Amino acid sequence: MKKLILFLLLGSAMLNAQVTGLSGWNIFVDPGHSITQNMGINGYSEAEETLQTALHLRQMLLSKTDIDTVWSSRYNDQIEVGLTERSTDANNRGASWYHSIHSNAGGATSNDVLLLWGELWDGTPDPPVGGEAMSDIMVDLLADVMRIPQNGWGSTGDCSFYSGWASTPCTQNGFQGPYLSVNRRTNMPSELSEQGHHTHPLQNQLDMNTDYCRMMAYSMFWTILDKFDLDRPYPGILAGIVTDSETGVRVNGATIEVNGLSYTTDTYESQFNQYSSDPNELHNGFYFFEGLPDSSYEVVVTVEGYYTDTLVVSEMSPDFVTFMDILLAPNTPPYIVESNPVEGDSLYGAWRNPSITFSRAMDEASVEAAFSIEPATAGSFYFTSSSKRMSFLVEDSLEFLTNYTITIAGTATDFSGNPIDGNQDTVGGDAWSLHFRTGPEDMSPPFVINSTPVNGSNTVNLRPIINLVWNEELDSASVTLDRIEFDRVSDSQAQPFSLEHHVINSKSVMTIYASSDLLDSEAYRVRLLPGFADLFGNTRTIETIMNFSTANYDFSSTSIDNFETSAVNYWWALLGSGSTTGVLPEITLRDFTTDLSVFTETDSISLQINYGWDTSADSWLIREYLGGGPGRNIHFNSNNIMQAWVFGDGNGNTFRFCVDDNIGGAGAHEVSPWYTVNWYGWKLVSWDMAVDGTGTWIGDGNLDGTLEFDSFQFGYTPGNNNIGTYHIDNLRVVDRNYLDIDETQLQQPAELALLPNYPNPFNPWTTIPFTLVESARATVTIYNLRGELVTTLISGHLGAGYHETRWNASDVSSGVYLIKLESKGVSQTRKIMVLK
Amino acid sequence: MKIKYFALILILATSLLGKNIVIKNTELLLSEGKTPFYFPVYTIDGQSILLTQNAYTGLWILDRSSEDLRQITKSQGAGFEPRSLLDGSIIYRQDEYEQGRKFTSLYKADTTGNHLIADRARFVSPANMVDHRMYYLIDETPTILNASSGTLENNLKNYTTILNDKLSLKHYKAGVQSILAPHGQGNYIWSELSPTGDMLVFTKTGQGTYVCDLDGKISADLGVAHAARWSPDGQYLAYMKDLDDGSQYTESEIWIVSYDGSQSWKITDTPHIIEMYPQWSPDGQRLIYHSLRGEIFETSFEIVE
Repeated sequence: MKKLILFLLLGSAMLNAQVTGLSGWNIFVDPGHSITQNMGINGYSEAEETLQTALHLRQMLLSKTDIDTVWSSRYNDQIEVGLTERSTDANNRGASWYHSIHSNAGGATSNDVLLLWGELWDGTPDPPVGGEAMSDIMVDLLADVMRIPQNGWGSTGDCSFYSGWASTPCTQNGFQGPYLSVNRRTNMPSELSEQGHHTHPLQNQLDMNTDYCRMMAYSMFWTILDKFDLDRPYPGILAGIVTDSETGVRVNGATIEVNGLSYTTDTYESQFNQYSSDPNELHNGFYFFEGLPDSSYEVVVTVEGYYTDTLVVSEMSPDFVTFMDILLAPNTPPYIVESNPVEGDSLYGAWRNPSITFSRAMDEASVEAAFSIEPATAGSFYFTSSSKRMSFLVEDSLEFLTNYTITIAGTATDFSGNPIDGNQDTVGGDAWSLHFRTGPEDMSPPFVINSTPVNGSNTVNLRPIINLVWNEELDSASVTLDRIEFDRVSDSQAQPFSLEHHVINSKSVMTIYASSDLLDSEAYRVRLLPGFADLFGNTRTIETIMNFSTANYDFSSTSIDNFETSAVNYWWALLGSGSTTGVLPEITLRDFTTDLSVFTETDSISLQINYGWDTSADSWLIREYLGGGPGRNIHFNSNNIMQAWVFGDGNGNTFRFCVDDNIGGAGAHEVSPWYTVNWYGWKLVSWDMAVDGTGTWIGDGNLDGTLEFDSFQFGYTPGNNNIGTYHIDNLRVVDRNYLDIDETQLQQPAELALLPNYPNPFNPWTTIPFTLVESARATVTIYNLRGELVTTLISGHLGAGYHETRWNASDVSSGVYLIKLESKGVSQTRKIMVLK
Repeated sequence: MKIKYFALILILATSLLGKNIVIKNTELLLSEGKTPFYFPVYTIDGQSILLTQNAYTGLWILDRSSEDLRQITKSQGAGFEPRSLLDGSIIYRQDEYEQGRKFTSLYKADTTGNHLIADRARFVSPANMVDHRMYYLIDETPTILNASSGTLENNLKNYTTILNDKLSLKHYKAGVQSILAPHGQGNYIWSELSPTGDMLVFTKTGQGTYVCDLDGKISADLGVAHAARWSPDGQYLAYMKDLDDGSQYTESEIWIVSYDGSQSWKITDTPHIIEMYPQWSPDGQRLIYHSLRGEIFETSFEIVE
């Protein structure tokens, strides 16, 4: 370092100016942090990097231009210069400009360029202005020289940048901006540059090279010239990185010879021993020539263990760095590192594209010419990873259950023309072969695509039927009770259930019947254990869990028809109603079947509707009319809820209820809204007449006076399957009976509902469901029993309906906590338990 | 405008030659609720305070008795090292940029207006003031501004100030110029001659703050004592002890130290407030300073036997 500084100081006086136009101007260059502030990785500090950059910039300006002078806040890395010292130093000297050089910190993968100019709290530049214009130029040049991206902010005002995440943004504590001291306390135009991240391993190792710092300084030098509309002098810079083509590791000790000059990349002995005791840990592969005449060049690269490489630079950039990165091939032949499929694979997916990874970049044409596959298969080639990986893109697909052989002949060569070593005996020129067998058509285990009730539902009725729909048909032998666990979350109490397996439209539907009523307002869990298999023998090896919570109400019901007795006497044939239209009469039939019914322990018959829609018709309706019998004598009103269990076929066609109103007067047919039957298996369809309103048919849309059931109606949506089957069971009208709720709560408008969290107790995650009646601002907070706020989970405007949030309690101790939901002045709380 | 911030009667335990400093009161003169102000300086009569804003933009004067706050100028750089004269007029700078080049003029503001006294110099050093004379280096020319008359004089005898290109102090004596580098090569800032004219306090960046005679012989090493200012009687220095992490200030307190460095007193002890850049009142019994947030504080004290 001392030698560098001496050279830079002397050099400034030795060379003549090439650029005129900066006379009368000066700049204070501030290599930001000192000594070990913002230490980088590998023991290399930001302070070392920025000092070198600053001294190089100073030397360039003094030697290449007629600038008045260039100051620096420090000339060595042994002293720590404070913020007030730096700005006062520049102010005292009457500097015309101030530039502070930094590098950034972050994770090991982030690396970018950022420029920050002084900005006031209102977004205007800090006077005297100028830093913004300089930053706008520098951010591009610095990123181009470093060949890394700009930060998403690019060149930006410091207040805008820091107000997003800093603890002390400009609009607080009276700062009013600029945020950065070097912008706030200097009385001349200023800016701060962040030249990459010293926490990025590759960048950090490049920063250790003083010529790399010089290259960064060049970008700042050119920025100043551009800012003053001065032509850049021809730099004659040739630079790049030497990399092992096989390992991707940058090569230490490579000698690059150009025009009689030579440059040897850093080695452990020359550089890295200062920052590591491991000779193989650090690499940068960086080389740098400066002042090469404007010409074309032959570049020769030599280093032990690699083939000597000769490259040509045909043209030098007149005003920028001429980059030439060099891939060196180890002086052993290339070989194949891995393949997909692997040798001997017997279940390779026929729809997949085989790929081969070579030890280094290959000559693509030679590899393509050397490739063959048996049985012959049409396809094309696609290279990635800088020509190290080749994929064979199969035009159609491979054949199922077929033996294949892929061969790469020994004529395939790497980018330097070295033939491949197929048997890895270190002698090139021999072929490589891969043998594999494709698998059957389906190789994926089945999975659940949806369920009713849906996962996370929170108002599930107390005697639920749970339908789990799979993406394909299951092997019935694998659908067994012992692969299902149904329990209450709070105490893991197992719940009795029965199970049915149906296949609808080539999909399996597993129907789980709760054998007894569940508790209200409790969380329950259905766990599908590994072992379910499809018809190809693909077996699930993972669990699937479905959670739901029961409602805080039950129903008192009056049956219209449970289809167990004499029903057949009163339900009309589907074609018997004059309203039925647009159907295929030979298919459109109704039946009473014992094949399927809800709650099979107490129930055995359901109404079966087979529909066939005439897709050429203009309108479609099936009316299944209840023409008489006890069901017609069940009277109710619009405060009731009409319900029926409907076994859906998932075809997406429609279903609705129809009632007659004003019984005893001039009544009419009124209908419910249409329900789209996109579910598979049993679902309790509820028409809450007071809430859901009516659909459109013959009546006036009002549910007047006394009501009685009229019919089920079915519709068709063009484009859907026109043939299918529904089952309907347990038609009834009900009242909702709230459970476990005090009267005051019932009397409150139901602005919100905080539903049972699940699981509970929990560790560490729980899901907290809630509903809002209308769109409103809401908060969900967690308190401990001392009333102290633990955390705020939600604070914002939410839409009406169901919501849920999750809490990670990993940072709190075991115990009871309170969830509080607040919206529009109404709140609900619920106790929850963290159990670790 | 005055807000009593806190009143503290504190007799500091240590003494200098039998002397103690008794802090009587600290007042918050301008709070953060107002527009932030920085770098307060007493006028020569101690009755008013000169203030500026970010980046030394503009200059205001606060009358202590009437609490009237008046803007003298909006000029860029006006708040950097302003001075007041015996007749109540104010000397301030005006920085202008032309094709990136900085030009600094000196203005005198009095009851009749603002008057140009040095036009568009390329460099004007901070002033040193001894015996009511203000010493500037204007471009390459040492210059005295008579604090009584407000005119520039050429009858130069003895002054010290900072040069802009040699990274050192220049000592002028009887018209003779010499380099003064009491602590070797480096960056020198915050230099101020003692009121008696025979001592100099300076800071060498990254090294520390020192007191030396005019031949450069160091008599006291004050350590981290930034922006040190002599007391009117030349017996003490007030300074800030500011710390930072390279990007932001982490703390700063105001201290007073005896000129020989033998004793020091902590004047502020408020970790939540970053107090900076103290300036003495002409009577030597008050210090005025600003906080990082732009508040203006004044601490009055008494030096007792």
